[in-house]
Amino acid sequence: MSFNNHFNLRRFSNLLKQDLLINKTKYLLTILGLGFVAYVLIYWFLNSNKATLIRFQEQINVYYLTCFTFYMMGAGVFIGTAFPDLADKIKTGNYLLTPGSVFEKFLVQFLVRIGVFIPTALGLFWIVIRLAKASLKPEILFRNEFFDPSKVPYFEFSLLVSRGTKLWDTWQIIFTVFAFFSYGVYLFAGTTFFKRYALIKTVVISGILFFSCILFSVILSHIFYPQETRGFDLQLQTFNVTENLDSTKFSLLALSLLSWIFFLPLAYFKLKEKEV
Amino acid sequence: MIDIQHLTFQYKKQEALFTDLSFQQQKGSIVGLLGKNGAGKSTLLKLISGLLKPQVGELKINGFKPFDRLPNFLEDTYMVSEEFSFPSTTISLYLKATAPLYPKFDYQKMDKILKEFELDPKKNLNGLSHGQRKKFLIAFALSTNCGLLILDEPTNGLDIPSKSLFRKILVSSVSEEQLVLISTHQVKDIETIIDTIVVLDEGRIVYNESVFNISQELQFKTVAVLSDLEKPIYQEKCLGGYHIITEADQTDETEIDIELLFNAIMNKVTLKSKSHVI
Repeated sequence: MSFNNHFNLRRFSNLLKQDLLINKTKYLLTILGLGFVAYVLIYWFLNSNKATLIRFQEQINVYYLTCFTFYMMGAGVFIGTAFPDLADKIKTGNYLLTPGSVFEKFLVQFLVRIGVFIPTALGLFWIVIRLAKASLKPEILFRNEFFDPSKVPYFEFSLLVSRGTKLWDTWQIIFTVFAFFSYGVYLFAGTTFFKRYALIKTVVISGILFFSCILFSVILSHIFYPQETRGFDLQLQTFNVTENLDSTKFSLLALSLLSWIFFLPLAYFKLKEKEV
Repeated sequence: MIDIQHLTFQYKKQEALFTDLSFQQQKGSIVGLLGKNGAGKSTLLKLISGLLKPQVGELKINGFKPFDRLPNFLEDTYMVSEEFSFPSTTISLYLKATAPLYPKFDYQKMDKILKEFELDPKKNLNGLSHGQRKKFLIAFALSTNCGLLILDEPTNGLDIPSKSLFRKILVSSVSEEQLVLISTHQVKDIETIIDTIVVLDEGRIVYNESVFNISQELQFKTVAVLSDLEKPIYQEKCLGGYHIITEADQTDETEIDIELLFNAIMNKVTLKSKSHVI
């Protein structure tokens, strides 16, 4: 089977152009809407926590991380609504018969929903959160405490992975970055599995899977460590994999690093085998 | 062009719709695919276009397996579905975005058909009536110049002038290099344009004959009384007499009454023909 059956630059650019021409307004409004809502919510969140910021200045890291997590959840909605035509039987037929290979169609959606959107969303977050912080006004709070916004550091991405001035461990940073990415790819893949309400179903299933794993581990803990385990406690048998990494951390790291590699081909083949 | 051998297909948890269906059709024809409700016409069209995967048997279109949905196959196949939807864009933007995906797209033909259908390119597709959107879809399909055009109930939703315009445009647009497959219940709408009649019943192609051959072998008449001279192969009572099918004689050639022919086939009447399948 020739390479041309899977990828051709002319076809791919035509498909991408088609998507952008038809959906440009939707994409633009999504970005602007996300930015505006994020600005309002972050400003409200920081403004309502000024008292805490005076007393515990290192708390800003936690606040920024909270804002980032919620913002990425919002961004996840856009990722989790990839392949919008697959939500409707009639549109699915049109989409599947659009001239282009499955790989090209897959790549267009991946590029728009993840490849281009995530860097854009991250850039937007950087602007919005700094704007929200800049919008905070100096004021005297109810215990005569003076809130000076200039003492609150401007957002930097490094603050998301710092405790005070110290960066997290390398494995924690890699775990966090890839956990976000893998979950994004999981949401992306979910759109090829479910016809309607794909995002909700995908999120619910991830929740069910997560709690099933916890429950399974609790059951195993009760079976293998009946004396030590109480209630919903977990007893994990850990051992050192490397000098700085035990088996539990290693497992979490492997899960976040590798799961997207599983979900991407899964989504591709699901799209390829789609029937109407 | 279309080569189907011993095809079997069934939807999940349902009885088999097709068992051992075989069908061949070469390019250069406008084929009318007829059948009762639920006979599987739309399913067959979906199988041919690549929207469904056959379970058993071989289905090839120009050497391609449709369900592989390879780009070269998709670029040369266009399906006008009975139900359709468009994005909320103007006709001109839709053309700008979608036409480049079809390498043989003829923009001049598109302009001409749009004018004939009285469609304004500045109008939003979702602001048009159902009939107007259908006309746009037909115009787009014809302008792609695809080798295989599949039209599922193309005249549904069209008004009377549009139906006759559709017939005129279709006949003038289609070349010898194309195959047009039209599935419809409204046989009157297409009886003057099709050159092959294919009837699907009980999961099989029960009739496949060219209009030329039919008119050579059969005559379709309306008579007041049935006389010994007529010896009808099939008859149907009608207002003021009978619609009948008789064997053709050497002198007279009559217009084909597809509805009558279809009813005869459904009633398992043996129609003399050299090549048709029953």
